[in-house]
Amino acid sequence: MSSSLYYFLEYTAIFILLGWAIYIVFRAGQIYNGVIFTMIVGAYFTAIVTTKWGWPFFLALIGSIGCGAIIAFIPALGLARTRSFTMAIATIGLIYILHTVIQNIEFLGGVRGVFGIPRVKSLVLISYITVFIIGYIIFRIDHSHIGRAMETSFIDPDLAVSLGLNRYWLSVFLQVFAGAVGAIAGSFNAVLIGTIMYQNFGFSLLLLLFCFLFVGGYTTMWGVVIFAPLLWAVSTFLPEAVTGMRDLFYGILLVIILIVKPEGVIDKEFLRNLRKFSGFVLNFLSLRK
Amino acid sequence: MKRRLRRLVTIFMFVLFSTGLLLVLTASSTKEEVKGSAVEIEEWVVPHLAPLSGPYAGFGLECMWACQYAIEEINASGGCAGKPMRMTEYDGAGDPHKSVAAMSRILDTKPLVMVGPHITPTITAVGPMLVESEVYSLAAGAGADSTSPFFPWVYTTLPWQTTLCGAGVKYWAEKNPDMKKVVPLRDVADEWYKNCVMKQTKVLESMGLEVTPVVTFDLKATVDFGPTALAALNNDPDGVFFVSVGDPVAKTIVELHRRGFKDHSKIFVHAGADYPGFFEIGKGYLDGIYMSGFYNPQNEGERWKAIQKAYAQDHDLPAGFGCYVGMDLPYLIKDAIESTGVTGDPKKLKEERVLIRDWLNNQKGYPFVMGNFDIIDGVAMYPIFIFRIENNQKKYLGVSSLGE
Repeated sequence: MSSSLYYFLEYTAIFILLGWAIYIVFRAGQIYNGVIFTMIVGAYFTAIVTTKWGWPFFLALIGSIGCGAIIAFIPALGLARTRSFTMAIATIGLIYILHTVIQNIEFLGGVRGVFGIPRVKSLVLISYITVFIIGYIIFRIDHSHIGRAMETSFIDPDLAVSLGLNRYWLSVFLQVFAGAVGAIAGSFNAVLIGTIMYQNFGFSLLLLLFCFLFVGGYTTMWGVVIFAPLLWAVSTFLPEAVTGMRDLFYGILLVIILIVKPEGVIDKEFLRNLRKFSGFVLNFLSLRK
Repeated sequence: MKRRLRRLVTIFMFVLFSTGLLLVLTASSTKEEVKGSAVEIEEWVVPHLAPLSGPYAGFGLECMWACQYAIEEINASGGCAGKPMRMTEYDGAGDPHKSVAAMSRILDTKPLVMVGPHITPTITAVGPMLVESEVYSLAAGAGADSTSPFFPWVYTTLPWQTTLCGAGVKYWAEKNPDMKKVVPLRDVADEWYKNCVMKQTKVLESMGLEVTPVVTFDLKATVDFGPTALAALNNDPDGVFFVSVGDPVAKTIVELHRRGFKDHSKIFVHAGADYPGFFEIGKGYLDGIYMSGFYNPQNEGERWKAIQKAYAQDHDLPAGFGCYVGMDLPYLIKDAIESTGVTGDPKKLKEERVLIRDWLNNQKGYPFVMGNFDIIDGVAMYPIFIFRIENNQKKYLGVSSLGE
């Protein structure tokens, strides 16, 4: 496998996980930037335990998930009561708080970062198995009573409460889940690159993820799956003269989509039409037989 | 109408998606071929990964320009081992993820040797890829503190901070014996700067000065440097010294001046700030400041004068740090290729990379633009040059060392 294809596939898996983590909380009507915060936690946990204590990767991954979930749970108890905008700002603040903490702790590598993280064989396979598992869980959540509760909360929070929905614990649950997924992405990122510095996880990554989510579509989980690899391919496979304009391209695309089709390219109507179309094709094929 | 527009957008996005998918599927079989790849190559292709956009673009663009200029010089005088050199440009944007993506494309071209990346956050992201792929890179601007974990596969022009940083402030403190208390300011992000300040603090304290806790700012996040200046002045210092790239330093100096700190002889600026942007932003507020430099722009050598003239013609600005760093890199590669006798034969790629690496990692008295210096374990052992700013220009005073 060529180097560029390997890194492209790995980054795509990481971006899909992060995009889903933001998506799952946004479906309940809150903008949760804490996925970057827990991504840092997962990355550093994996980096420290593998380099300093020689843990195997699978153990480090499980530990990262636990750490990410716990670290997400603590602020979630307060953030669950907030409105979307407040949560967005507060979770950005969490990212910078964590940056400052890491800068000042030598054990975590400080400003220098952590080097020499052992590589993992078959990382692409492990990453995509994880993507399938998380994707299945999210699919089941989306099509369960929790998914319907998320939908109601998104459309009208006050209506949701009046129908007896416990928005607080729903939000806590979703934040913890998103935190765990963010930590998984961080863990993969650490073993992919082999070194980590806290500066690698910041605002530019957040903007990239929001681009994938809002262009792809935030009302279903499939938007990120289709558009994360597509838009990231711009950075990887197009000629250098074009990749230099990628931020401009992302920005223009985002603005156009938000004006013309705010729910993104792949929305529920699109999926309904796709189901109808595939049903029509199957009928046609069965008639021909 | 709106429904039709939404459908059109959806169709367009899927055309885009299909194109992207096609690119992905063909990418793994697409390779940049080394021209004349059988046994003899027709040209030496050197990939250069630099921050051509983003907060470090000032340095990256200058470095790239200087490299291309040097390559034109080399090709005009017969090329490298009789063949022309060509540098291909890759933009890392100073961002680790983008740099890794660009680096993965570079590795697919199976380079003999490459240049960059030059910035600490990106060399730490890309360094493991260099070591794994056993590709030697001249990451000239990154600093030995950042490149040392990737030895022997990375070269740097910036020596260990322990051999340089303290020398500049020592000179400054000796010129200002009335200073008793100084405050350091630095960019929070760079490990090199943190170590630099630690060394400078040690040197100044050994000379009897009090050094207050560091005032930091974030190059990427800070917009208004008034609070930074205030934080420094709150320490009631006699002197202020900076370690960062140019724009924040110039902006902070302007803010210090506006708040009454006008004796510029009590300000020292470390070499990292030496970009054209520093002098542009700080114009009118910089005279009298002491500044250290990794190179001497008033160097009388013909090569340096020529590049200064050419850069000024192209950009209407004086040549800066990026030019000094970039100018030598193609010549280093040329000399390594000619001295080791490598052929560029793809079949011998692995062993020829090692030959290039071993030659570039250790040289005695290599003729750099600024003078003859040793390269020891991939680090060019430059001295530190001292200047004072007069009429918004650097005036060379001499060199300084700690005797270490």
